Amino acid sequence: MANQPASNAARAAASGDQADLALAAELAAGNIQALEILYERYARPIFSLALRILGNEADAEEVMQDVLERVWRYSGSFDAQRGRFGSWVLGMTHHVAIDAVRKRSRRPQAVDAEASELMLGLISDPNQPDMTDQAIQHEQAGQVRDALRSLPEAQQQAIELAFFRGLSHLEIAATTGEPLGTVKTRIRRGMERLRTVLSKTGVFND
Amino acid sequence: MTDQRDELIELYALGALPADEAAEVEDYLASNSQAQQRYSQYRHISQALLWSVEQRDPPAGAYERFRERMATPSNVPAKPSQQPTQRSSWLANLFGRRYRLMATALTLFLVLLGGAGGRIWQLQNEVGALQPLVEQNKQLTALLGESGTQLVPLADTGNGMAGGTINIIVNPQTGQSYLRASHLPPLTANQSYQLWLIADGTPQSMEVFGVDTSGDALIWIDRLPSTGAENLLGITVEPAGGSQQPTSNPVAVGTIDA
Repeated sequence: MANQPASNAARAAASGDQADLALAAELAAGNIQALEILYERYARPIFSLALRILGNEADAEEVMQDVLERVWRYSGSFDAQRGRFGSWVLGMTHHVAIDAVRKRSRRPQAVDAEASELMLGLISDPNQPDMTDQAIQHEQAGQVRDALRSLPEAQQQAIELAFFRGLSHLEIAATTGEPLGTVKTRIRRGMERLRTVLSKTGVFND
Repeated sequence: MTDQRDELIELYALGALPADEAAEVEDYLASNSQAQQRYSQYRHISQALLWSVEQRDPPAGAYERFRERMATPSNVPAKPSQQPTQRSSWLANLFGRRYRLMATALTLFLVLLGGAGGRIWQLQNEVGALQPLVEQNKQLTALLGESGTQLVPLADTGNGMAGGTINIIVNPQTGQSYLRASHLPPLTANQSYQLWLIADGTPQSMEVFGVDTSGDALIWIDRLPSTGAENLLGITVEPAGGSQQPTSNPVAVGTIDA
């Protein structure tokens, strides 16, 4: 029973993967028509993630437009052997949005477009099963949210401050008023627990 | 003994490390297979989180704006080149508008002063009004020129900064600091913002301040409390007049580089 969603997701992902591979190829070939498909397929998840990180629609749309343009410009560097197209796109979104948060309100960062491009290679790992992009979006996103909510509140908060705000251990400690060691422990335990819960629900397997 | 970089693997997988620390973790991962394995597991969690947010449609007109952006070749920016941080660019970027406005105001004032002769008396009040700005500008210029001065933009912690921004120019050696806040949420009459230096986990008050009707504040701070090995700056909302210790979670935090 637990594996059923994963099976459905895997089937959906397989068809989605093929469509995404075709889309990536069209973008890399410079087919301007492919931009419409890119927008239809990814504007919503890109905007949603950017909005979650940045907290306001104007900034989230700016990041969305920026990411869509980067996907167009750098689609030739997408390597299907390293992971799925959707993970590549949303990984880029996360990176650009966190970078925007830091530029807006944090210590100076050395990360720029070139560094961003380099970091894209870190998002995917060819030796591991990947998340199932569109299928995850529709079928498993709720499971991931549930898994996050199932954590003790302090662990959930620490992980969310790191992932959705880009805060360091020290900054999370200052934000929550907890000792640094406690913050580190909470994040590690929270990640371990998430891994266990998500594996059981079939979102991914070890 | 555990490598300190081992403790950063979770944050690296969550995409929460700045570039310099990320590079250190990458070096560590390249030489440690156990660390690689742990990172690989955490990376999957990070990918799952990418897809976990509640879905929202982009604003009306976003598609048209995207088409417009992509349809004009000149609108597609060239690869940005990395510019080294320069103090002059801080001034231009962060305080530029105010700086230019003050400079313009001063120039106009001097022209008027030179040309108006007998009308000097009419401008005396304006001299008085401009003098604090001139002094503040001199202080800022001197601070920016000092060795060890650094910019510490504070990160919104999600506790109520509502899109506002706070940048602090600080020199840990001289203890002088300059705070610029923009578009912070207004406070009630019995509340104040309070700036803290959190040295090795111990908060020390630096300044209690309010904001104008636009949510802006520009404050010169002459002294920095005792620093430690790890120093953060944080802003909290406190009862009017400030508190001995923070009574709420910070709305923004930032790190002073060692």
